[in-house]
Amino acid sequence: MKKAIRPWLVVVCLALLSQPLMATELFGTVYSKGSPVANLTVEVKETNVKIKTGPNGEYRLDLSPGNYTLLVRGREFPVSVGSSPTRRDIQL
Amino acid sequence: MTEKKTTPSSLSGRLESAAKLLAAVSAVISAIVIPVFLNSYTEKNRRAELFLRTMTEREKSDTDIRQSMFQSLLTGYLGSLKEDFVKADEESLRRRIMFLELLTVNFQEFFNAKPLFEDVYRRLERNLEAATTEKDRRTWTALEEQLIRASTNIVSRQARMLNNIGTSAVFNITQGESICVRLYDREDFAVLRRSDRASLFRSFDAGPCLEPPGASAGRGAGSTGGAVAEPRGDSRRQSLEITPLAISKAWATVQVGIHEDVFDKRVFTGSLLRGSITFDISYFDLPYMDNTKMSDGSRFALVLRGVAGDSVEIEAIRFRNDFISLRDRPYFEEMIQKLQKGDTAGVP
Repeated sequence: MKKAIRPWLVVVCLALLSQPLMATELFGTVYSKGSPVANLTVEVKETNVKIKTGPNGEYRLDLSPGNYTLLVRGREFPVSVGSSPTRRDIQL
Repeated sequence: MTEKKTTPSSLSGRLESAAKLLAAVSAVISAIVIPVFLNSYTEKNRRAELFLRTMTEREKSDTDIRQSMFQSLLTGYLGSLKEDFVKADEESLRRRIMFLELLTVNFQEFFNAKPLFEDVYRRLERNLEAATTEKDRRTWTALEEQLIRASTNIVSRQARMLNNIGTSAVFNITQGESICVRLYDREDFAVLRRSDRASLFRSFDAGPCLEPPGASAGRGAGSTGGAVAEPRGDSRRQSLEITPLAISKAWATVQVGIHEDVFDKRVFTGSLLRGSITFDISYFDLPYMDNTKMSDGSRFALVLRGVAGDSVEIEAIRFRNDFISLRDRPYFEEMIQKLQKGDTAGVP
């Protein structure tokens, strides 16, 4: 019985380890000349993660904790995401 | 001979006496009050006339100064243009930019200098394209930036003032992409509901503005198609569907569809396309001058705030039709208020 369970246990552990760390929220507002800008693409460099800002220039991304670079209109903005929700406003 | 005695105690006698007494008192009071009242009324009229005369004189002298200033500046600019017509070198273009800045700063409510700005910009572009050295390219680029800055300083101030009496939305849009901008009043976004009776509206939606089902089919069918039922409602709002067709360094060609959103008891019932216009917007558009009137009497202006590759940043502003330019408002309102109150304490 134990021999039958072990392979399954290994598979489950491998599956769990391959999952990324718990994602947290990165949010903020994009401003241009002091005004929030809607419909602007915020992209995470070297990933496929991107989102468009809402009517008040707001954006929200789910990312694992770590250091990232946000791309907005070709400009780079470094950000560090912690284990709790992180706010990063961007001034163009 | 017996004397006939009249008894003062008789009723009619008393009444007659009272009447005579009353008449006498009234005459005395009237003799005092009426002149006082007439005097006060005359004094108020005199003060109001004095105030109006002073305001008129002040306006007249202000107008004379402006007229003289405008004439000097325009003559100076056109004179500069005439002299440097062939040259178009750095110094002459720098001079023209200075004149344009002076004209726009002082006469932004009366004079649309957009064609002059665009003319100078085209000359700078030609010089930039023909530049052979890096130094020349930097010079012409710096002048272009100075020209654009001279215009955008005024434009942003005008946009801010119009936003105070209306609503605006700033958005980024890519060439060929359509977005729907809702030019509702601020409080409308809290109370109006979409057709599902639950969702709120946002100031913009990606994609085209909504139309009632079958509307596009009805339009496509032309005269053979049946009439599309117009959505019913008790109130209407305006939306703009904006699509940039072409984008260049300092302007963009946009197609704007003006939609009328219909609401029935604050619930959206449909949207109708009332017209479509195509025009250029540039850094040199002044919202005070370059705006479009809508069917509900309000006006909208599109301000170009930036160009980045194949996308532009635009501010859409909606404001009341009865807006008076700021230079006139203080005098106009001050005059009306003082006339209404009859208070002339502020007369200089």
